[in-house]
Amino acid sequence: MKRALVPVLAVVVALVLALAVRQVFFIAPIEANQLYWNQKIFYFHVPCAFMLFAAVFVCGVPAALFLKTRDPRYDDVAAAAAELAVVFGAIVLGSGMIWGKAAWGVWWQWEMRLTTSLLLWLIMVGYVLVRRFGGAGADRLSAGLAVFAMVDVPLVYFSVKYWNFLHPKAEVVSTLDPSMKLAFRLSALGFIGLFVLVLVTRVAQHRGVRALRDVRERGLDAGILEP
Amino acid sequence: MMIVRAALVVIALALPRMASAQDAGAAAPPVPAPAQPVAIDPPAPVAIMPRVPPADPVAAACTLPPKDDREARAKFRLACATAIEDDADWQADISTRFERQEHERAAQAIRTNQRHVFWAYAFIWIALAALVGVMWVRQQRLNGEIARLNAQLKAIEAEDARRAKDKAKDKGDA
Repeated sequence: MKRALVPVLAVVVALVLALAVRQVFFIAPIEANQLYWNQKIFYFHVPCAFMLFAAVFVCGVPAALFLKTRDPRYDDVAAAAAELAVVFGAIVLGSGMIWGKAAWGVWWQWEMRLTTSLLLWLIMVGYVLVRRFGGAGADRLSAGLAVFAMVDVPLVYFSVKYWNFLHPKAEVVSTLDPSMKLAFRLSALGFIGLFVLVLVTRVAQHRGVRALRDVRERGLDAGILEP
Repeated sequence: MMIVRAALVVIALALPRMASAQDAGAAAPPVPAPAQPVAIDPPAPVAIMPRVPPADPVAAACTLPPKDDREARAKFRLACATAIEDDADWQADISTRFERQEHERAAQAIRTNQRHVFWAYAFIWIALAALVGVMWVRQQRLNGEIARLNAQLKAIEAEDARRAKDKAKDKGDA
């Protein structure tokens, strides 16, 4: 049942994302006040930002639980979510830079939303690097980083509210045209599905790797397996 | 410069005649003046305006020389630049006109710009494809590791079975 769920979810996600692309490019009208075609970047950029926040929380909460209980199952979830945070963070920053070049004429501005987002992404990259190359005790060290990263999420989210520079405010979603809203909701749904799909798969892979390592170590200890 | 000078000469000559005609008109009904021989200098050679005869001095001064006449064009531009430099209002007018054109060009560029949308979506899809690719590679590596472990276990089982068989054979022989 669990094995069958992943391919079914993959098909559903692919369908929803295809529908979202159709809605974005063929049905939703072109924003005619300021951004014109460039506004279409919004439909994928914003859901990816939501997924970045979700990934940081899905990484941070199990990391905190891992620090408390030392249960490796929490660590597997945190590690899988951290990789997703890095990927979605890269997507948000990359698509945002391209959008910034189109709308503001510059690739980058050191304003609050952009800077705090970059900081969040760098912390998550730090998590992955520490886990990969940190040696013994890296799991605990990286778990601490993940908890620290969670603090940055509200800072990123509220930065446009309290320090308004260039980046549009979060309230822009509620002012959308209905067909634009549908496109946005479809892509958000698609990305939520993709997030769950990749997270479940990566957690299973992490657990598989851990189980294999344990089996190999026990086999080596017992002298059954060759190195 | 030559054109401007020529135009100024023509205007200077024409103005007193126009003024005297106006004065005469104010005093009495206009009477066609008898043709008087007027001593004027021979017209300056108009080397830079071969196309249009200089009937109207303003039109003559504003006529752009043909493209292939580079020297005339250079002189024309120089004359224009000098005149613009001397006239602050004209400068402001030209500046405003070009600024508006520039704004309209920029607005048109934004209205029709699809390039950045393409690059943004390409970037997103490439990043997601890379994620799926990395996951697939890791899964293959995991499958390979499992297969290697299975092979080792099978070899151990075969070895154990062979040993058990040998043991049984030894017992039977004994």
